[in-house]
Amino acid sequence: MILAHDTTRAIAVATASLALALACTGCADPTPPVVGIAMGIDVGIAQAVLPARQKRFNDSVSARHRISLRMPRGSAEASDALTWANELVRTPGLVGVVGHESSRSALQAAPIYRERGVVQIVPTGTSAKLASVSPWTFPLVASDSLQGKLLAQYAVASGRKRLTLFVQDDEYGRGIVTATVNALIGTDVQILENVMHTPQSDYALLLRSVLGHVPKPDALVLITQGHIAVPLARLAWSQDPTLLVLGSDATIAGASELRSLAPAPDRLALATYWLPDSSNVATQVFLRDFRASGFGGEPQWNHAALYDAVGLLNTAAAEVGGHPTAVRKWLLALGRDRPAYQGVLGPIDFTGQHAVAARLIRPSATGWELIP
Amino acid sequence: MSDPEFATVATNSESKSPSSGTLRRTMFMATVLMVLYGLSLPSLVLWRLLPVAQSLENESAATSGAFQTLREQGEVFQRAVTFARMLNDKTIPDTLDVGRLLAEHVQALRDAPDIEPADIVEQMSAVFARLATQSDRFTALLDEAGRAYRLGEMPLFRTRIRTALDSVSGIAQSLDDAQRQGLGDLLDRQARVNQASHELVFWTYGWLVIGGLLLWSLVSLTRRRLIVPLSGLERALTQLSAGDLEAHIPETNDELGRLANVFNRASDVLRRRAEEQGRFAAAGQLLADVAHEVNNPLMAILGTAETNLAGTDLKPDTRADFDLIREQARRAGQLLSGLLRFVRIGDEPVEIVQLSTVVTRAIDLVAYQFPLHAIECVTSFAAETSPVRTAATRLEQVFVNLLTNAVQAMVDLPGRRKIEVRVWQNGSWSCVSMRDNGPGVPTDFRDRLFQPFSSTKGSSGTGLGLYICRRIAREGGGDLTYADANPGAQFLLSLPACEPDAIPTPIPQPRSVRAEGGQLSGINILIVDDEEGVRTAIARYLRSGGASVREAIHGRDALDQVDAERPDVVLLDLRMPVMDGYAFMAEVHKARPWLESRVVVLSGDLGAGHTGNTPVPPARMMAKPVVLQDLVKRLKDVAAANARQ
Repeated sequence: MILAHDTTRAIAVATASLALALACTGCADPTPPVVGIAMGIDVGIAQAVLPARQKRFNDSVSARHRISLRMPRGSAEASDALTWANELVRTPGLVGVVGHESSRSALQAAPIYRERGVVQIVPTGTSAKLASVSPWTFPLVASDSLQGKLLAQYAVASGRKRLTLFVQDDEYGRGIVTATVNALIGTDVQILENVMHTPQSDYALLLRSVLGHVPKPDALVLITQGHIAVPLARLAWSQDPTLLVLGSDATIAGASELRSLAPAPDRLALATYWLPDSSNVATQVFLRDFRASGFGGEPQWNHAALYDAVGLLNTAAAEVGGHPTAVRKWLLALGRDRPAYQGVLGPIDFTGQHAVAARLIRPSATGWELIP
Repeated sequence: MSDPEFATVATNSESKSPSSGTLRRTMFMATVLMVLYGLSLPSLVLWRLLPVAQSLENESAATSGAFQTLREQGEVFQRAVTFARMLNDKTIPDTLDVGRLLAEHVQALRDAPDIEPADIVEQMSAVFARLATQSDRFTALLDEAGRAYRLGEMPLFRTRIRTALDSVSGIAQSLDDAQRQGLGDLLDRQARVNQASHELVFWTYGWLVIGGLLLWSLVSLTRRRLIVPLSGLERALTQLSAGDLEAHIPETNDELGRLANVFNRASDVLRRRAEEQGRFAAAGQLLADVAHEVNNPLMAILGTAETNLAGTDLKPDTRADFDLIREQARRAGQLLSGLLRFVRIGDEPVEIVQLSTVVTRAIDLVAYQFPLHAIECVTSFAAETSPVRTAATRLEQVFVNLLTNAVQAMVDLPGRRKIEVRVWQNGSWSCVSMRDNGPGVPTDFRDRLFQPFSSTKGSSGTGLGLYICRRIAREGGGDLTYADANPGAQFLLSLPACEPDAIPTPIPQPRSVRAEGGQLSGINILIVDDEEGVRTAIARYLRSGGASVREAIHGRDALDQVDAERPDVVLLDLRMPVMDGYAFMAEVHKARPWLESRVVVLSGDLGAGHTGNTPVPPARMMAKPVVLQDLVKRLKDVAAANARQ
């Protein structure tokens, strides 16, 4: 009886304490949750499109769950990426970070997020190293090994025999090069040269060197950023209009210009992780936000990926709270204990079984079409 | 139903149930505390030291891996820088294919192992990132220089070489930074390990001090709550077993306290029981004294009656009166004899008896109650039953108990009251059943019926009767059980029957002789008894048989008479003034050994079956009141035996 009495008293005290603690927690002004955006040159699209989506999200949840976005300004340089990372991890109420833009910057920032226990969703990085660099890093799309295989297969299918690879000298570029070279083993396609470049490279010199090669290449594979791919393609086509230009997913930022430059639809093919699908509700919302933003141009897969990455963190914070550990568990549960997230890119989870895969597109009369 | 005193003990124990578990709870808490204490240091080590150690291990491995890669990169870089300087200084022979060599250096730089991102710790990430960018830029410049050289664009070639060499100082600076940060990182981790170690030492000392305090508390608690009460209990039990019923234990408010409470109450009950036993023993002694005093007048009455009946000139009516007197005196004597036997139960010898005989003696003892309570007692003894080997008097006690219980159970019973006693043979068992038509034993009491201190008689019962009865039955190799008689109660006692070989041949009983004239002729008999009535009655009877009889009033008187004239037989009483029978026999043994075999003891102190330390062999001992014809036979036998010697 005494034991029971004591137990009852202990339970009562514990309950009262818990209630008091909860009350205090409720009374206290909670730190508002924040999602960090570290996207370098894509920060423009982020600033244009994401506010509308965030407003709609915040209107749909209670005041306590409303999430603000924090987007440091800067360049795509790695040093900037680390500066942003160090700045973002000190942000009170940080739910997670969307970024960084390239595989290299995402990889370089990963140790900082790993040490601080902050979820990092990498929307556009495709390096295979992203999957293993840290338990807190979640690459949104499939790795570049699949993309390299896709590019190689198309080169073979289109009957080209001599390829020159024009590659951004970082983890992204090297990953796709390795995958492409491996995919071409055993075919009659020859890789003439593997031209690595940095953002400061003399592209004209490099291209002169490439086109001066004997024999000349009949296909140029551009594994680089869109703003570099466009002048390179222009220059290449100006000297050899028959040249087939294959662009990796990073070139998609210059997709519109490349399409306008292409001598013929069959001279250009680009890898992408997304094409607008009007039957997809998430895509419809994204397109509406994109058009309403006044950003201009065509929405590309990197825009959609950024949109989905923020959506993932929003949904996680709304469902399990903004603590990074809970958010990480939520992300890991996708496709396992929870259904996959239905994003603009399609169903998203991090099981490795249903990664968003790359596809090839080429110009069509109305825009772009998938290459079967 | 049960013993009220023990019921009180139980009730009091139950009434303390709210505090039950105090000791258990204390011990449980102490165990939990010790477990928590035992786990605290390992937990602290796991919590404080393990993460630091793991971090040190992981980060050190990562950092050393990164620096190893950096060293390999550095070697390739150094070769490329040397070649670039040679180009810049134009110390390269013209015969060399500069474009190809540059391409090879570029390829070597690109093929050099990369620092794995997973190997980069947070503190080093910035410098490694800068280093990677600078290294890539240097490689790209060399690549461009090579391409310009191959295209024949020599100004551009030289520009690129110079630019590449210009960037070397930045790379060297980054390498220095990396090494400095690596060292700083190492020192930082070392400091963390040192701090954790110091904390651990501090907490270990604290843990040991707390452990000492806990141990002291535990020993103190154990001593106070366990050892001291248990020692007290042990002392009290020792006292109790030594017969000290005043043993008492201090009571505490826990399990041992309740045990002490039960012990104290139990010792109280035992003390009261002992007092009752003492009173019972005193009553038995009183009864023995009374029996002696009553047996002498009975002997006188019986002797007088028999003496008169021995005469031939009595009228029929007078003879009938004397017959009645003789029979009633005999009956009174038997009753007294039975009572004496009952109160003197001790280490009874095991003998072979017929159950019917023992049952009959028990019935005789309680038979006086039957008419008082209008109880009809019906006996049914099978003709052929085997005797049993048992302590007959103790067995008689069992039957007296059962019969008394039956009588008491039927006292308030309206209508016919009946006790049926049956003796029969069941295979190798001799059985007795005693059945009454009373209310029977309540159903909820049957389980405790044979347990000690269980009684349905409230404070008037000891609760030991049936327990002892069953124990006696079981000591004899049998059992005592209860069965519902519906209505009434039925007790069944069974004992193993004796093997036929074990049954001794019955000794022919001496035929009763009448004191006929001349039967004791020539025998000189000395009667030693302080009771004149007894002496006179016996003397008259013996003289009527022709004996020469003298009388002595006590042992001293008898010794004088013996010394004056030797008797053939001395008929000796035991309890007498001046010199009792025992002192007389001692004197005889010392100074007149020839007389020892001539003494026949006749005393009111002897119950039938009494086998104590007797002054003469049992064959020469007789209890008052005695049938004078039997006495004559015994005296004659003794005289004849001594005459042969």
